[in-house]
Amino acid sequence: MVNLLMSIVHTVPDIPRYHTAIAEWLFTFVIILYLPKRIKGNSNLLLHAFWFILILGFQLLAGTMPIQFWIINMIIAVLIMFAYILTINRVSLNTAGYFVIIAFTMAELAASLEWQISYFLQVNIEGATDIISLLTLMVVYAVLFSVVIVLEKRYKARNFQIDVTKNDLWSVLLIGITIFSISNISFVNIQTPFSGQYPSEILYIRTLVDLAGVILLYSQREHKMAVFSSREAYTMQHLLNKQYEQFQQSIKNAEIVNQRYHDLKHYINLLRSETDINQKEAYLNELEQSIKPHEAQYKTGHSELDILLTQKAVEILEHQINFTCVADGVHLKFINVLDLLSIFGNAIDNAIESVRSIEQIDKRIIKLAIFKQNQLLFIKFDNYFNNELNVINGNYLTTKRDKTYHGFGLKSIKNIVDKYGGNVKISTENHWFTLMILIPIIEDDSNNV
Amino acid sequence: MKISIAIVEDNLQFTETLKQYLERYKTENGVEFITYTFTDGDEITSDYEAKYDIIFLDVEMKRLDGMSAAETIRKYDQEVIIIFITNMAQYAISGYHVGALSFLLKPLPYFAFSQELTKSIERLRKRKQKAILIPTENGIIKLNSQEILFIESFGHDLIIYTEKQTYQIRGTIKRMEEELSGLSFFRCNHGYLVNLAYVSAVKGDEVIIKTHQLKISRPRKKSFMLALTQYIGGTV
Repeated sequence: MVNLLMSIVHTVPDIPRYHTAIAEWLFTFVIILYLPKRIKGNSNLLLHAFWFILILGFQLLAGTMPIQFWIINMIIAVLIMFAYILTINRVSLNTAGYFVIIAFTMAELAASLEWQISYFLQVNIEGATDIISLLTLMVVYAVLFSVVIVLEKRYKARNFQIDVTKNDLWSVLLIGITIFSISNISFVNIQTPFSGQYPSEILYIRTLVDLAGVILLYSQREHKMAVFSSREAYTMQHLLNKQYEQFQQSIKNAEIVNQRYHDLKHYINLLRSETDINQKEAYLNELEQSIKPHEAQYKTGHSELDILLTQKAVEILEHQINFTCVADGVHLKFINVLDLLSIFGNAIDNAIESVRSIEQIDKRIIKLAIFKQNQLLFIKFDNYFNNELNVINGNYLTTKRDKTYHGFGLKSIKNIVDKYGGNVKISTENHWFTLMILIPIIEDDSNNV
Repeated sequence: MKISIAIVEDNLQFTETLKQYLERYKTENGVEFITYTFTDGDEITSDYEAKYDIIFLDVEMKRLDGMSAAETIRKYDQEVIIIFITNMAQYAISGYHVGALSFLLKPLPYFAFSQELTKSIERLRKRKQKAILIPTENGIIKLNSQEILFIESFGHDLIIYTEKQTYQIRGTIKRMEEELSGLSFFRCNHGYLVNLAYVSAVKGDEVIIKTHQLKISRPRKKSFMLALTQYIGGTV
C-alpha cells in the first residue's frame, strides 16, 4: 500500500505545506475573532503571530517526515489549532472542540480548492507557476475568509454560541472525521469505490467532499440558530402578550380606581359615623384589603424582570405572602432574557410553592435581593419554611409533593449559572431556605471585534 | 453585647409598636438594646454619630424621606445596618443604593420583625476581626485582619499587602491560614491567601483585588467561588 501511495504522491503534486499552514492559521484566526476573548486589547497580536509561526513550523517539519506519519501529523495539527483557540478565547473545551472542527474543515476546503485551481492553471499555462499559485492562493483564501466573516458576524449578532452541548460536539466531530476520511481516501488508496484515478479528478473529489462538509457544518449551525431564534421569538411573544395584558389591566385599573374613589368616600362617611371600635376596625381592614392589589408595581430597571415580578405578584397576593424585593435590574442586562426568566421564574415558583403551605400566614415570607458588588452580580432568594428539607443528589426538595419539579427547577438554575461562570449556593439555617447566586459580570465587548 | 438601635419614624404610635417588639425580643432572646428614637429623617442626619448598629428607617417622612436620609448616613457610616420600613413596596426596591438589601412591610407583624432582627444580629456577629502582630524594625505593630488585602508566600517569608503598604515577615502561609481561619480569608492558590472582602471581580482564572490580579488554581476555582458566594451572602 505504501508503494502505491508513494507512486500517487509522485504523480499528484500535493499542496505545499506552507499553503496548508496559512489556511489552518487563517481560519482558526477568523473563528477566534468572534469568540469571547480572555484578554482585551493588542497584547493578542503577539500571540497570533506566535501561533502562526508554530503552525507554519509544524507543517514544514511534518513535510519532512515519512508518509506513515501523515495521520498522526494531522491530529497534531488539529490539536495545535485547538490550543490556539483555548489560549486566546475564554471558552469551554466543548466550544473550542466544536469550533476547531469548523476551522479545520474550512482550512481543508480552502487549501484543496486553491490547489486544484492552481494545478489546473499550472498544467494549462506555461511558465510563471509560482506567481500563479500565489495569486490563486490569495484570491481563494480571501473569498472564503470573507464568506466566513459574513456568516460568523451573523451568529455573533445573535449571541447564541456560548451553548455548545456535548451532542453538538459529537455531531460535528462525526461530520469532520467522515469528511476528512472520504476527502483524502484517494491519496491513500486508489483502489476503493470512492477514489479517483487521475490527478485532476482526485483533487476535484477532495474539494467537493470538503465543500459538502463545510455546507453540512454550517447548515447544522444555521439549524441551531433557527431553533434558538424561534425559542427566543416564542418567549418574546409571550412577554409581549403579558405586556399587552398589563396594558389592558391598567385601563381596567383606571376604572377600578374611579370605583375605589367612590368606595373610599363611602367608607370615610361610615367611619365618621361609626362609634363601635370593633366595627371601625372591620371597616378599616376591609378598606385595606380593597386597596392591596394596587400595591404590586415593580420598577427594577429591567423590563422583562418587571413583567415577571408583576405576573408573580398575583399569586403572591392570592396566597397572602409577605414578599419584599430589592432589585438592581440594570446590571442583569448581560444575561440572556431566556436564561434570566428561567432563573427568576424557577426560584420564585419554588419559594411560593414552599411558603404557601405554611399555616401561619405571617410566616409566609419571601425576600429577593439583586445587587452588584464591584464586578460581581449577586442574587439572593430567601424563604421561610416550616418542614424539614430532604436532600437528594445535592438537590434540595421540600417534603411536599412535586419533588421532581423542585429538583428540576434548581438544576436548571445551576446549569444556567454555570454557563456564565457563576456559582449557586444553597443554605438552610434557622428555618430559612436561602438560594444565593454569584455571577461575574461580563462586560459587553461585542463592539470590540 | 448591647445593640444600639435607632428608630426613625414620624408615626409615634408605630414607634411605640417597635419599642414593644424590641422589649418582647429582649425577653424571648435575652438580647440587650439601647434604643434611640427620631421623628424625622433630618433629626438623625443633622450631626450624625456613627454609634448605631441597626437603624429602622421609615421611607415616607415629611421633611427628609428615608431614602435621602440613608444616603446621608452612608456618607458617614458604611457599617450600620439600615432596614427600611414602608407600606409602599415600590419605594424600597432601590434600597441597594444605600446597602439596604431587605426591608419590612407595614403593617408589620412581630414575626417578620423578629426574623429580620435575628438576621441583622447574626450579621453583626459575623463581622469578626482579629489583630495579628508584625515584627518590624521599629518594634512590633498590630495589624487588623480587616486591613489585609491578601498575603503572598515568598520563599520562607510572607508578604502582607494592605492598601497603604506591604510587610514582609517570616512564616508559612499554612500557619497564617490557620491563624485567620473563621474570618473572610481563602487560599485561592498555594501561594496566596486572599481577603474575600476585597474581591472586586473574577475574570476567568484570576481574582481581582484592588490593582492586583491573582491566579486562582484550577482545582480550587469551584471552592473559591463557593466561599465567595457564601461570604457575600453572609454580609447582606
